[in-house]
Amino acid sequence: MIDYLDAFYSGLLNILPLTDHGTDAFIALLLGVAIGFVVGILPGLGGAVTLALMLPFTFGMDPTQAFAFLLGANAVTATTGDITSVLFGVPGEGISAATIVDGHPMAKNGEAGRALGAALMSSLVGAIFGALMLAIAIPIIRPLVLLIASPEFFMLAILGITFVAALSGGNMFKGLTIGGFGLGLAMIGLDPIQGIPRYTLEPLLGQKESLFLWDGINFVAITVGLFAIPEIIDLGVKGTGIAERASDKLGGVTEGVKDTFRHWALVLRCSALGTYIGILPGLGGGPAQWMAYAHAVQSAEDKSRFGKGAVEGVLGPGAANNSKEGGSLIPTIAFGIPGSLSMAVLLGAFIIQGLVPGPNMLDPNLPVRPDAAALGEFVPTGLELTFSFVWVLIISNIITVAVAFLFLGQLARITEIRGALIIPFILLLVYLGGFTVANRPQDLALVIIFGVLGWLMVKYDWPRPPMLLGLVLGRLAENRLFISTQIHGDFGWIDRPGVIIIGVIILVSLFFPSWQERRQRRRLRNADSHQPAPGAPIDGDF
Amino acid sequence: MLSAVIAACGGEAAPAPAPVDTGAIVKEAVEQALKSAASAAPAASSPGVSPEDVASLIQDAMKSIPKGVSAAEIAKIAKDAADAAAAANAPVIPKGITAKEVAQAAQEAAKAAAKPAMTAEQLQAAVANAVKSAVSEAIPKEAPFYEGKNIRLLVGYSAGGGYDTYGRAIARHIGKHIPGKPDVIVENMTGAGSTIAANYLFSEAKPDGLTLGLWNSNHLFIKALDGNPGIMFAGEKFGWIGAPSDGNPVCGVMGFIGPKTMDEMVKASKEGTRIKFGTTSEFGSSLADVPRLHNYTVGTEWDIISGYKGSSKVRLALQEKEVDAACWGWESMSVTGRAMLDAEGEDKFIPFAKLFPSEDPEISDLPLLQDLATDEVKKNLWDIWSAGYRFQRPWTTPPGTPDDRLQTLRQAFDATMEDPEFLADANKAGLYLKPMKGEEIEQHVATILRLGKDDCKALQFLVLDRGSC
Amino acid sequence: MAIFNLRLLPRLLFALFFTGLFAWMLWEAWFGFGQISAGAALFPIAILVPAVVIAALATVQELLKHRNSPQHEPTPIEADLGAAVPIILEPGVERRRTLVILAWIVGFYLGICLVGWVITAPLSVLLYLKIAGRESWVVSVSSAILAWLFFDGVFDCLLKIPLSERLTGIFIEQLQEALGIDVTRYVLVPFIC
Repeated sequence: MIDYLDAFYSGLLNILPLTDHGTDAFIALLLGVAIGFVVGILPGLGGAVTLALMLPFTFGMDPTQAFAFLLGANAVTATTGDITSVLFGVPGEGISAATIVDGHPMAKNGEAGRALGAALMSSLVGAIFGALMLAIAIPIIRPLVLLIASPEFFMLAILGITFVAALSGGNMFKGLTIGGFGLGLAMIGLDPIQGIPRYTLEPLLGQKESLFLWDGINFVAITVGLFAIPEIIDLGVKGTGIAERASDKLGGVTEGVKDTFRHWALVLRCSALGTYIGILPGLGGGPAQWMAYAHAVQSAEDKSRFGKGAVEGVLGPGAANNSKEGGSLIPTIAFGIPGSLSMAVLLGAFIIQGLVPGPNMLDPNLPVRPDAAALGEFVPTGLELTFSFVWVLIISNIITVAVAFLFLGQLARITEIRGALIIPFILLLVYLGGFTVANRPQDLALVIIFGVLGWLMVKYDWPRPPMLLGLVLGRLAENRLFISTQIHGDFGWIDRPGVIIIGVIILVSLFFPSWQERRQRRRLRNADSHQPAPGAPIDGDF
Repeated sequence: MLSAVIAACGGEAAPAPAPVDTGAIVKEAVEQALKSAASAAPAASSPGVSPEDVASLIQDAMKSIPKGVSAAEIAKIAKDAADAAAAANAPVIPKGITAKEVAQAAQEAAKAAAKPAMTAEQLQAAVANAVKSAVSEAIPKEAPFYEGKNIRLLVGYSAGGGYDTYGRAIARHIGKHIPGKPDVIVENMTGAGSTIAANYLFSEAKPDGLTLGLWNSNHLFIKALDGNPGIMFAGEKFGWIGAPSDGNPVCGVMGFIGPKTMDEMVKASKEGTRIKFGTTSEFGSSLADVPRLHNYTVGTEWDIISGYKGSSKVRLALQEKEVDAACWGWESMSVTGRAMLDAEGEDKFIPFAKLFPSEDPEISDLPLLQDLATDEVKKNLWDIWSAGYRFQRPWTTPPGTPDDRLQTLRQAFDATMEDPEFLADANKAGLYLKPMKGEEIEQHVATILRLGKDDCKALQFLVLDRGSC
Repeated sequence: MAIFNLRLLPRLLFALFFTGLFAWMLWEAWFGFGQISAGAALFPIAILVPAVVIAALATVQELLKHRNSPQHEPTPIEADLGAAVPIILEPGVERRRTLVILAWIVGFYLGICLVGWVITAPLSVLLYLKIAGRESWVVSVSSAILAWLFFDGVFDCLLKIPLSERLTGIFIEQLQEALGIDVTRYVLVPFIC
C-alpha cells in the first residue's frame, strides 16, 4: 500500500518543474498540450497521425518526458474536439460527434457559452475520473481485462446496441429502423471470418473503386456529413448567425460549469461508462460517446428536450470521450494491446523507449530500464511511470481547460457572426475533415451522400444517433460472435458467467425504463385522476 | 614521404632523393586515375564524376610518389599531369572542371598544407579536399534530378503500424544519400490490406521516381494463386528498390496447455487434443498461412480460429486463454510479445518452430517448420511459399520508372542500410534489420510469380479455394 | 382514398427507401455472397429480416400519422435542431434557399473534384461570399485570402496533408498531362510554401 502511495506521489513529482528531469518533462508536456489543443480543434487533423509525426521527436527523450509529450497531446484532443462540435456542428475529432446533437442546438439558442463551458468542464471531470480509474484499477487490471473474452465482448456489443432504443426519441419503429441501417452499414466490407466482400458495390463502382469499401465504410466521414451538412443547410436557409437569438446571462460559460456540478451524478456515471468502454480493447472511441449520450437520454425525466439543446446531452459525451482515454491506456500499458490507432502509436513509443508493456509497468520496485538505472541515470519504476501517465492526463486537461476558458467567451461570439461569412469556411472544414481520415477523395462522396441523407432524416423526423451506434458496434458484434462460436461451439459460450451477467444487464436496461415509466404513471394517476396520462408518445428530434 | 617533405620544409638535412623520374610516375598515375574515374561515370543524366571520386583518385596517385619529393614539386607535377592529359585531348577530365583548375587546387593545397610535422596522410587529405571543393564548385552546370524536390512514400498501412514505422525510419535518412538531397514525405494510403496503395502505385502514380510505395509484398503470392480479385497489379513490373529485412514467422504456444516443443505439439494433435491457433481472415498473413500449411504438409489437425484482426488481437486472445497458439513474424513477436515471452509458467509464450534459420539465441535451436513434412513434395511447398518471406516491407517504384533513377534509389537505400544514424534510430525503435538489395528482390519476385500449376493447385487452400490456376 | 395526401409522398418515399434498401441487402445476402459462403450471410440475414419488417412498420406508421397532416409540413427550420424560438419563413422562400444552399454544397464538392482543393478553397469562399452572401469585394477577397492561407498554407504546406496530391482535380490533372508540368505543385503551391 505504501508502495502505491509512494509511486503515486513520485509519479507527480516526476513531471512537475521541481527537479531537472521534472522540468524537462513539464516542458514536454506543455508542448504536447499545445499541439493537442490545436489538433483537437481543427477538423482534418487527426490524433493518430499527429502522434506518429511527433514520435521521432521523442527519440532523445527519457521515458517520462516522452510520454508527457505524447500523452499530453493525446489527452487533450478529446477536450478541445468538442469546441467545434458545439460551435459549428463539425466534430473536431471523430470522438466528439455526439456532442453535436445537443451542443450545437444550444449554440443556436444563443447558449454557446454555456454549451462550451459544460463540454469543457465535463471533459475535465471525465479526464480526471478516467485517470484516477487507471490509477485505482492497477492491482486488478490484468485479471479484469482477461475476464473479457470474445463472448463477453459480443454481449457488450449487444448491450450497446440496445441503447438504440433510448436514442429513438420516442419513435421506436423509426429508431430501430435507423439502428438496423447502422448495423447494415457495418456489414459493408470483407466479412470478418472468410474475407468475402459484402455490399462493396462492385457492379456499380468497378473492382478498383469498390476496394475502398473493403475495410468497411468510413465512420468519421459519415458522421461529419450526417451532422454537419444539415447544419450548414440550416444556416443557409435561416440567414442569421448560428445563434438564433442573443445570449443572456443564463447562456454563459459559468452557467455551463455550474451545470456540470448540478448534474454531477450523470457526469460521473458517464465518466465511468467511458472508462470501462475504453478498457475494452477494440471498442474504440465511437461507442463510448454514443452510449454515454444514450444513457444521458435514458436517465432524464423529460426526454423530449434532447436534440433541442439539453445540456445533459453535452455533459454525457463530453465526459465519456475523455474518460475513455484513461481507460484505453490500461490494456496498452498492462498488455501491450492497443485499443485504437493512437494507442498503437503510443506502443511504438514504448518500444522506442525500450519499455515492455506488461506486469513490470505495474511494479513499484523495478526501474523500467534496469541497465540505464545501473548507469546512474534517473529511471522511474514501472509503477511510477504509470502514475506519471495518470498525472499527465490530469494536468494536461487542467491546463487546457484553464487556457480555453480564457477565450471561451470570445469563441462563443463566433455564433453571432452572420451565417454567410462562416458557411464557406465550415463547409471547407467539413470536406477537409472527411478527407483527412484516410486521405482519399472517395470519402468526400460519403460526406455528401450522408449529408443529404442526414438532412432528409431531419426533415422527416428520423433520429440519427441510432445509426452511429449500430455502425460502430455491428462489426464488433459479428466478429466476436463468430469467434465465440468457433471456440465454444454454436451455443456453448452462453453459459459463461460473464455472458449471463451482461445478459441480465441487457434485460434490465431494456425493461427498466418502461417499468419505471409505468410505475410513475400509476403513481400520478392515483395522485390526481384528472391529469392527462403523461405516457403519451413524445417526439424528440435528433 | 612524410619525413622527406617535413625535412624539406623544416630545414633538417634531407637524404638525397633517389634518382627516379618522379614526374613521369606521377603523370602516369594521375592520368590513369582520372581516366578510370571518367569511365566510371554513370549515364548521361548525372553530371560526371563526383568530387569524392576525383579526390580519392588524386589521393591514390599521390601515394605512389616516392619519398623525398617536395610539396612544390608535387604540386607542379600534379599540374603538369593534368595539363598533359588535357593536351592529349583525352576525355579524362570530369565534366564541368578544367585541368587547370584541378592542378591549381592541388598546387595550392600542397603549398598550404606542407607544414612541419605533417604526415603524408594529412597532406594527401588536404590536397584531396582542395581538389574536391574545386571540382564541386565547378560542377553545378547540371543539377541532380532530385534537387529541390520531394519524394512521396505511399505506405499502405496506417500510422503507428509496422510498415509505417519501418517506412518512416528509412525515410528520415535516405534523403541525404540521394544526390540533390530531396525530402522524403510519408503518406499513409490505407485500405484493403495495402492493395489500394499497390494498385495506385501500379496504375496511377507517375513513374518519375518521385513517388514510391511500401505495401505488403505477400500479395504477390496471393496473386499467383489468383486468390484476391482486388489485386490489380503485375508484380514483375514494379521497380524494386530494396527491403530492410526478411520475415521469419515463428510459432509459439502458451504454457497453459502443456506441449512445449514441436514434437509435443504434433503428438498432442495426433492424440486428439484440440489446439487452437488464433488467425486472421486476411490472405497473405503468416498468422493464417503457417498453421494451415503445417496442417496440410505435416498432417496435424490444429484448429484454425479465424477472425482476429491482427497479431495484437491474437496476443490478447492468447493471454485470455481463448486460443492456445499462434504464428507470426519473429521481428514483430520478439518486440511486441516480449512480456509474454519473458513470462513464467502458464503465462509463458513458448516458441516451438521457425521458418528460416536464425542466429537469434532465443530461437536459434528451434526446428524448422518444414522439417516434419511428410514427403518431399510437401516440403517443397514450404520453399515455394516462403520465397515471399525472404524480403518483407520492400520499397517499390511504379512500372516504367527510368532505370537510372531506380539505380540512384537503390544505391541510396543500400547506403541508408549502413548509415550509422539510421542504424541508431532503427535500434531505438526495435527494428530488426536484414537488408536485401533491389536486384536480389527482383529475382525472388520472379521466382514467386513462376508458380507452377500443380503447386498452385496444391496451395489453393491458403486462399480458401477461392482462387484459380 | 382520402389517405393519399400528395404532400405525404416524399415522406413515404423516404420511409420506403429504408424498407427497399433492407430488402435489397437481404436479397444480396441470400443470392449473392451467401452463395459463396453461408457463414458470411448469417449475421446479415439475422439482422435484415427483422429490419425489413420494422422498416415496413415504420412506413405504415408514417402513412397513418400524417394522413391528416396540415397544409404545411414541418421543415428543418421549425421541427428543428434546437431552436426554442422557431424561425418561420414562407414555404417558398425556404424552399428556394434550401435549393440554393444545397447547390453550393454540391458546387464546393464539384470544385474540389474538378479543379482540386488548392484552387477551390479560396475560389469557393470568394464566389460564395460575393454571390450568395452579397458581401463587398473587400470582405470577399480578404476572406478568400484568409482561406487560402489557412487551408492551403497550414494544412497542405506546413502539415503536409496530401491535399494537393490527392485532391488535384480532374481538369487540373488533364492539364498537367497536356502541359507536362506539375501545375499544382509548381504553380499554385509555391505561392505559400
